[in-house]
Amino acid sequence: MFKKILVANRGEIALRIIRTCQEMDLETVAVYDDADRLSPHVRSADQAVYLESAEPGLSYLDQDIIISAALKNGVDAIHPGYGFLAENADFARACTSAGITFIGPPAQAIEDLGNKTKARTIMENAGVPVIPGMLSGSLEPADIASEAAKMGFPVLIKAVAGGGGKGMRLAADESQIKEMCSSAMGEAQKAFGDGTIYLEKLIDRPRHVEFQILADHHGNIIHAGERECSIQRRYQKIVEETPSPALGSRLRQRMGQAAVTAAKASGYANAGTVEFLLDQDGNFYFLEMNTRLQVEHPITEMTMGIDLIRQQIMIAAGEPLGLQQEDVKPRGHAMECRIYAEDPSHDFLPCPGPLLIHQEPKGPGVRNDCGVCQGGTIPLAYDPLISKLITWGENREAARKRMLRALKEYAVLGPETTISFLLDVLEHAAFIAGNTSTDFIPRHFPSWSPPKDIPPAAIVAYVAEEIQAQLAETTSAGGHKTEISPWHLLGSWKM
Amino acid sequence: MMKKYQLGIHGENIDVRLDLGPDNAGGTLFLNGREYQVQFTGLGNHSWFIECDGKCAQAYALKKEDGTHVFVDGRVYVIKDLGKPKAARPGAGGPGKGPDIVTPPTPAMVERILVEAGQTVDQGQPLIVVSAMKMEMTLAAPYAGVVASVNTREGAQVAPGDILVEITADESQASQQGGKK
Repeated sequence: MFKKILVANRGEIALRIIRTCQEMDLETVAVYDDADRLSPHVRSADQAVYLESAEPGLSYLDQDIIISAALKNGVDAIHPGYGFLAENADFARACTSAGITFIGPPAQAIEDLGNKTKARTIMENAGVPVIPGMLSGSLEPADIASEAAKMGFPVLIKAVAGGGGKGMRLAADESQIKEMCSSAMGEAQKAFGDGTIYLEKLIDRPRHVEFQILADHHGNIIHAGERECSIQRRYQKIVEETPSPALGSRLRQRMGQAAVTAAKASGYANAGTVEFLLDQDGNFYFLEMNTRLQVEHPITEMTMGIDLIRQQIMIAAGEPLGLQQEDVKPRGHAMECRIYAEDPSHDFLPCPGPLLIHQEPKGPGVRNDCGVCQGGTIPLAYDPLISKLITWGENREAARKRMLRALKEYAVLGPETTISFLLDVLEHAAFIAGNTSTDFIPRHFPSWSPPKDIPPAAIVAYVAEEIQAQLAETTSAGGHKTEISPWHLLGSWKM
Repeated sequence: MMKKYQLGIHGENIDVRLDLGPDNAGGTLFLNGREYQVQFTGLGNHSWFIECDGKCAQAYALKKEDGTHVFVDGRVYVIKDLGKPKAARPGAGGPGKGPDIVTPPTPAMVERILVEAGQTVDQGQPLIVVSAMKMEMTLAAPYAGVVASVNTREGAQVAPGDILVEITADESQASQQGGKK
């Protein structure tokens, strides 16, 4: 087993990994840049190393600095989290050359599956159903346009190096194809350093259903059930749940088997996720395989009773998987809501800035994976995720009700957030019925504005804040400087 | 002491009166033709314990540029004081230009500039692409006209209020547009 692990990430996922390491008596090294000097993950680790970077937003992508920090501090393994270097085959190889274990799949599997057209070819050869479309990419918008004409519109333009919806565009007809291609290529080039794109036929109103895979280095592969992630904005998930309300036991078994086949065919080891689109008729298609821990992994942990980070570390250390397929049975239902610093009334515009009030929800069955704290800042350079709020319940309705309760407890002031919008999503009749598809938000919430009915308590709080400010002004104008003490703030009280 | 407030909440105007008690911590609130007996106790850092006709709640209230943001029960309400004179916004341009300026909606970096000074642009024509947190946003011409100046460069960090492209309106086209609708 390892002694010291460097966590090459930031925010909630860095903190998540550090916590499991602490529980396993493993020493931790955090890394940070200027934007994250005061972040919780920095102070939670045993050691923290400052990454000096020329440009904001690039520090966590700097392989050389991270590996030299690991070597200098006697680290024997690196956990990349998700994003940044997590799906970078060169980084996985560089770790191995430096004598450090990369906690993730073999570099070859990352490379093969990271190339979306190559992954499609592997899956097709293994008999896993793939979405109709191109099996090789192009840098020529004209090639893509002629290919689209052959396939028939609408088509989805995707980045060969893609993931997370970056570099993905929908072309509804011929007039949009060139503009969408160059826009997709630009975004792909920036996000992945490779602008190559390809086409997939658009599946009408699919569900996004993905399977968690665990594979060790001794040939054991199991799946740990599915996650339904159909509620998305900008092709990015915002609500996830498990089990999926769409799967019966037979379909679950078939999809789970296909996911295990996909992992086997790609020579996979460690934790990974096979993503499928499930159409209205119950047909499923391989979408992509994510060669890392997913953002939404906690819902699987809640229903399966597994610590996926612990599993990742054990597998990377060469331990055989301690679980058989029949050991992995879900209990109850879990949901995750992503709390972003975004303005849902303005097309989910990111709202970086200081987090002035941040009171997390608590109580039974509630977990909040959060990497920022009150007084901290949501930096401009990174994803505006404040936290992932997860609830568990005996069944779907119990988990949903618990989520509503937790969302109502979650007080955030400073940036706009998705909390109020998520309350409306979870109360929507289609969500309650489990009728979700990837067009859920554009279909049911083409626009959104906060509720107009204001509770009297909100008016009272407004008035209270005004009166307090006025009192403070008059006192200081009168020359008496008031120290803020709890006794001043208490107002009237009785005993 | 009677306090009067003229409030704007998410587009609605509400008149509020509070007969404030001598302890400055409660009284009678008049709202939408109803009376409420209210108490408020500061818990520090913009946190309030609110009692309203016997029902208690936890609230937070924080003054920001666009009004006071109030949190109650999972919802945030932005409450503007309409009774106070509005502070003029610097750099907002001349009359008629109000919201029709080319400015990023959030702090962002300039990715691509698609026009140059002297160029004629149509209403809705993309002018500039900015990115925030790796998401691209295209800023389009709010009206037809001629680009008077481009006030930024690619790679620049920009913020809401910065006018990135100035456009001299094409009056004939503007009136044509108006006539069609």
